Amino acid sequence: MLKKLDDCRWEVPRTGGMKVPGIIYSSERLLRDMGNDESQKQVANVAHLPGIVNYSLAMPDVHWGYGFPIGGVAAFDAEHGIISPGGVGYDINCGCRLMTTRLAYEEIQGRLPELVTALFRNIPSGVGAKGDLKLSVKEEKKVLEEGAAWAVRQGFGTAADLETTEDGGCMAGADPELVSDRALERGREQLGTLGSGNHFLEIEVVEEIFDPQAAAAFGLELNQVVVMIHSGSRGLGYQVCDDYLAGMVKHVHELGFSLPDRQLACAYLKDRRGQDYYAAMAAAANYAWANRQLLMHWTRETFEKTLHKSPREVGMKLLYDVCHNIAKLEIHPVAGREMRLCVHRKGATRALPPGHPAVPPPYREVGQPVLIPGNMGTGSYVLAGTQRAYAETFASACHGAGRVMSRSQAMKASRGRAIVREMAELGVTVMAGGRGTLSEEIPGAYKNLEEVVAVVHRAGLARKVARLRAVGCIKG
Amino acid sequence: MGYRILDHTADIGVEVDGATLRDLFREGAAALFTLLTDRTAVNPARVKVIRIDGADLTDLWINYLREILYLFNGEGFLVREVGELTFSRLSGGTGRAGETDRSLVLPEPFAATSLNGSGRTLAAGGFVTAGKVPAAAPAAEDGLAGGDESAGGTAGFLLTACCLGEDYDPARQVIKTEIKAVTYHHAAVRETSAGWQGVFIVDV
Repeated sequence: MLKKLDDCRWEVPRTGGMKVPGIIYSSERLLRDMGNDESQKQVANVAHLPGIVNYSLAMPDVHWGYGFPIGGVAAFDAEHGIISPGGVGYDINCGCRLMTTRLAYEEIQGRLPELVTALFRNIPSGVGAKGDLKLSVKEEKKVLEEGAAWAVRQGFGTAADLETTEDGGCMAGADPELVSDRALERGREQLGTLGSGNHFLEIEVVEEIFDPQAAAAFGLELNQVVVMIHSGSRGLGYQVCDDYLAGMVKHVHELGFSLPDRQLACAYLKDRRGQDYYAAMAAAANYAWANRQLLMHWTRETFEKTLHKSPREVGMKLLYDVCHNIAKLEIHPVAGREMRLCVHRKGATRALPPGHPAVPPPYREVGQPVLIPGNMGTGSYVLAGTQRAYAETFASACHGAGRVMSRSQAMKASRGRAIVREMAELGVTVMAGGRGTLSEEIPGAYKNLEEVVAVVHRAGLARKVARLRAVGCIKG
Repeated sequence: MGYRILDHTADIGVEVDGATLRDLFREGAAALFTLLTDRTAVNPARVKVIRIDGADLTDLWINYLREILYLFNGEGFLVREVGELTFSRLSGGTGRAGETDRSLVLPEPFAATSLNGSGRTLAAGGFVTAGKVPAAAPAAEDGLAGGDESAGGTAGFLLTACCLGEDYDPARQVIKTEIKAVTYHHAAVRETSAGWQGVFIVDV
């Protein structure tokens, strides 16, 4: 059913109730890996939803999600289109944050076990981990309104951190009153925790630079130590999604059309139900930004204390923080005119081109930093947004490697193996809360990150700036 | 009776069988908490009563599993098993045709009379229960939040379930996987030649 358009793009032709065709960015190899994965059908399903503009898109790391595929991008007309919690995902504003340092690899090489142990101790992780902050509900609501700025106001970081955070770490339109008591309760104890599963904090080293001009603008140089954090809105975000999805499933018949999958339940953005979800989702997004800001602050402290260096010597600076599970109101050119759209990125990263006003001034000439985490131990990529992505994918690129093995397959594949030792042999010091997490996240469980990034680069959705090699990792 | 894990790249799918609808729902809860923990290490020391509604059987199935998962995610309560289950139909609007109409002829569970959840003595499925049954399960109110506006009649079924378990104690119990949510993706409840089958996919 796929029609090849060029070396990087395959079309899912418009059939049945599809309002637009689908386009999958991929390669022969990635498509083969995808096999019987249901994601193509999911791309087609999303194309059925009212108000969808241009195409239902999938990034090269696309894989079978629930409702929307993971790695899916879809934009809906803000006037007549829908918003869908399933198009954002449970982990609202799951995202990445990359910090640079003034340290060279040699300065920490011998101290890695110590550093990783200290990070593991200072940064709460794992299932049901509780943070050290004891928030009142009133204070928690401020977090939901202010996002990362709340954390900075409390002394966790500096105002400069906000300048290199997507949306300044605060999404407009958040309303904490639309977040349920259940979500608030779950969020109260989990602020400042990493989470489990594929969330991680990784010490990495800049191994290769592809674009010296962009690397210089981003403050990246060879052999430099950097830190990548991958985390989201914790139980608060999951509960917001769960609450609103259930409400939409219940009332979906009121929309006047039938859905191919209940998980695609949605509401018109202009209706109260859609508006309420948007405001609650924005509140959860702000929580996630505050969360990553806290995690970064404790990482800074841990580096300074463990290495006995001053803040200036460590020089940990936020390169960028970007989310990859979100629906945002943005203006994009559609058929030659500017249109207000609700862009859903579920497992996709915003990738703004050079010159765009939302790109922080120091990066404006080279484009927005696009952070692509690999899975445990494979390292990560830094890319930069392009004009092409702005024209073709509502300024979006991939978000990671994407799973190829189910979790049970990965568990089987890792049975009897000493994963921590294997990782150590690969040069990565790993500490994790449970063996389960390690087994599910073995490198073979994911698509080849090199290939995913190569497709994104070749398709022109973002261009490669630097590759980062993992040397230390903590997981929940 | 029993359940199987289905292969799904990102998430975990589960197919559950039960001789009766009641068995199916009990087995579903057991499957969910087996993904989460080693249930044999969970003592059925306390009872939490949950009350859930659903527009049709599939909706009820997922809402029930969501609510049971919340007992852990929101309240730190691990479920060993579900004891008494009471199904009932909402009077008034019967919802849409099709699925809902078909369930008019559902067997045993719906023979139960109207809902009377609170304050009853609970038979605890072979376990000795300690603690007390909450007079009005706080969870129940939230679970039905939004129900007011649906009084027009899409919520077709109600279910009360007694969940036996205890508060999570990291010293004695292991959490195998964090389960973010029970999704509606591919959700199904169907009658089979052997009884009932239900499917759910969790986001982990």
